[in-house]
Amino acid sequence: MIDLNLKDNFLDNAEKQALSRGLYDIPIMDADCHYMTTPMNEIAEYLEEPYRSRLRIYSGGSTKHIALDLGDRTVAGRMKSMPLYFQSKAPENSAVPKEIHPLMRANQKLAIDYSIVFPTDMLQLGLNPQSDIEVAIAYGAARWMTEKVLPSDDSLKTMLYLPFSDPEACVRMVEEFGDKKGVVGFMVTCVRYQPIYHNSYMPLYKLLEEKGLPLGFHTASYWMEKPLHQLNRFLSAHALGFPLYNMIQLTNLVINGIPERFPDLKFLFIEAGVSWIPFLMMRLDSDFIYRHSDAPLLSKRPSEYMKNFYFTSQPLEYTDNMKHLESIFEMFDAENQLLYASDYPHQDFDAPASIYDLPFLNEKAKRKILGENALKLFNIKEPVLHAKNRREQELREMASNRR
Amino acid sequence: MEGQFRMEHLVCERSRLVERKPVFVNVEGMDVGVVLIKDQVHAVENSCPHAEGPVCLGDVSNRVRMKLDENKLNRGEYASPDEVNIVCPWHGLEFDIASGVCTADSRFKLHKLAAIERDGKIYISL
Repeated sequence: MIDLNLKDNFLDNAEKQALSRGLYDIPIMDADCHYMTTPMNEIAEYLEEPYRSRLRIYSGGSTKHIALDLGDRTVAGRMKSMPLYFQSKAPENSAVPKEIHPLMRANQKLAIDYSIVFPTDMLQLGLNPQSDIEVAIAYGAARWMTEKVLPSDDSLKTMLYLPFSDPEACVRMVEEFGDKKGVVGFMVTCVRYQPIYHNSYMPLYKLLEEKGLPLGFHTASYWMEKPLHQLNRFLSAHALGFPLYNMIQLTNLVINGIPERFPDLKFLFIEAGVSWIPFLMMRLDSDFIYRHSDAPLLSKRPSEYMKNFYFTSQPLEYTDNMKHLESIFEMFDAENQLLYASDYPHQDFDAPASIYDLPFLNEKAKRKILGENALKLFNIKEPVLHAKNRREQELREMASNRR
Repeated sequence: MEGQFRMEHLVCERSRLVERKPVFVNVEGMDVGVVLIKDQVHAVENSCPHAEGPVCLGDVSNRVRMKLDENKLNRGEYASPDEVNIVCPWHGLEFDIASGVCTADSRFKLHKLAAIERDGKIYISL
């Protein structure tokens, strides 16, 4: 008999997949993975009073600054990736902070060389009506990320959270952190109600465009939102919520002509799979040709702007007829515009094989989606095969210990 | 370890098996989970047909069903006592342990191997 257990062997099959497909030999970039909880006590230390005290978590309490969503993500514990993340303990000598350590272990088995890391809890921070608290958390988290996380390992990158309730603070964030090592873009979390087309945001878009930094829109399904409140199952809220908020932000962006005003600004839409993209293309185009005067800045159909946007792959939809997925990929030029994302350790994570095994992609397209598109978008030159190097280092250490 | 017949592989003594607690063997490069459920031994390749997750490391749980009364009113959900699933810990796909078929989508089917009990020992056959 052999000893297999969840803690040690959860991602062994992903490692086998990577080995059998040669994935350790090609650069893979994960455009979206997560640490689960922002270390509020640590980021508080970067702030002046009264915010330092306001952010600290006191014994037995919680920050109360970020609303937790309802719902059972693990289906009564059946899906194990998130519980395993929380159970994982970083060793004393860990070079990376304890929040990040489980991701490094996972990346090695998933053959991921570069990761964009983002805090799960902050996906809901945009719903906090206290703008100054949003700004404080965003600033403290950016300091922690750029001083403690990103310098600790070359494989770690981030798109920093923008406190979107304060457009001027967003500009200050880009000015202060946009050139820091490992900051490859900035992020708008999508469950929020600020009008992204308002004049007050134009300086932000202009600055990002000038700096060549992509703007990401990370969606979520927040069950307590009114549109989702009619849905009585987590399954339902999750299935509709993610594409819904990406669609709302993308629609506002395109119909108000933001890409027309900032043609060199790169947009990335994160975590809604791909099947919503053709739906939105066709819906917006159909309405647009009837009412161009409602969108006077547009010089072409909405779908044509969308073909210049970038999208992440996860959670890639399952279909029994691959022709359907192939058509979707063609509609938004996935070979050049799609970025692989794992979303690890969230329960619906995708391994790189989710892309590599698609039967309608040739080897060149697979490599572009798994890594090259992201490396180009995020301006990472001469990529290092970090996963392969780490794995070989570990194998050498194991062999050495056996001697 | 070879059994007394060709292509049979010894897993363990029957007495080692604990209800719903899989044990594992590696046979010709394949990880196989062997699990005792209601006095029946099942052997399953530790690879989910959906995304190749380690299906045998997941929960063994009873299928959830909804009770409807004669007027089709929902009278609550229950764990069906006679339907036992093995659940992939990656993405939660649930498989009827007896047939190996995914309860949500019959196109996904576990790779089950023959489990043989002889002389107090469990063998699997490829």
